[in-house]
Amino acid sequence: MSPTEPQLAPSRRQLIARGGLVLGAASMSSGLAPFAQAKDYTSRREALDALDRLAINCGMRLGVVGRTRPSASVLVPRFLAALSKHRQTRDDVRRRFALPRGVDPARQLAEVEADLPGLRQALDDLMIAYAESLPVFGDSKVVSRLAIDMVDVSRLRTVIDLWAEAEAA
Amino acid sequence: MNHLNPRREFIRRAALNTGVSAVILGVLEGRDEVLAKSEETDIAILNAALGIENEAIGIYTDALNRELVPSGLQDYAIEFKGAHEGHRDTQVEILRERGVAAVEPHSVDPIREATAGDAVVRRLLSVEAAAESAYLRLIGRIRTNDYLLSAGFIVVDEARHQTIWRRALGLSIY
Repeated sequence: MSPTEPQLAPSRRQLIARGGLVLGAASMSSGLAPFAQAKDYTSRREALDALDRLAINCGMRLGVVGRTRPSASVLVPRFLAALSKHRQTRDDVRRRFALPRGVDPARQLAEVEADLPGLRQALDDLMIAYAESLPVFGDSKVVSRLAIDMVDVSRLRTVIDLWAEAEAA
Repeated sequence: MNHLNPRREFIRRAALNTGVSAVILGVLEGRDEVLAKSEETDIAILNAALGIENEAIGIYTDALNRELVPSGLQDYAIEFKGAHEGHRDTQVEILRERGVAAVEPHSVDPIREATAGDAVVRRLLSVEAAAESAYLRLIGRIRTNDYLLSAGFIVVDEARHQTIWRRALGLSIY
């Protein structure tokens, strides 16, 4: 399948309605409300660049959370290792499609807060970008590999939800 | 005697009750079957996924109706049952757009346990793990963009449910 192949493409409204079906039944805590503004990626490179950028944001936030909360000393290194593994997957995908290298995370430094809601939102943004980007790849193996990482991000996000709930309690 | 683990048993029951082909069942069971990307494959995947959602809804309904979910976890069970209903409705609608009638829900075996407790939560966890694994095995074979997008949003839900049940059972969550 070519990523640009026209095929039973739904209108934006249909997609939003469909997302609403899922969301209507699921708890809003699943955080999929941004589905209503689902993004259409037009190229694999654009999608990979967005995923890299969002993952870097997650990594920076995790780093700050890890430095400021002693209770994070076990989980944060595991999370960072997971994000690094996902990065390797995306690098493999770039090589597979002969795309230029992505942004170097070490060169993307910014001030971020150490708050869990901000980290949760960053992971949510990354997870949604994964889901929205799947159609643009047009390659079974790539979609399967990226979907595994997407599910991993969903797990990370849920753990942060539970962590935030525990802190609030 | 049933030698299948709960996850495989769940997949096999859901698939067979939906009448999926041997090839799709092979993919669901982890075999590297050749599956052409086509409209027929999408419809076969949709029907298999519907079987999984119907099986999950049936098990959650049984657990909730018989008050088998531990009291502190009932809200999660209600939420997750609703999520599976949403996944079902989404896929029924995608089938309808393609002019295909969805398979009817099948009867689901009642949960063996008679009282609320960890065994029931483990059963619900196995449902979610099976659903996640099934979607991950099928997602790369989906041809149409709208269904692929929907499947992506569905599988992240299954991962969330699984994490919550693992935490409830005191299992490692990451």
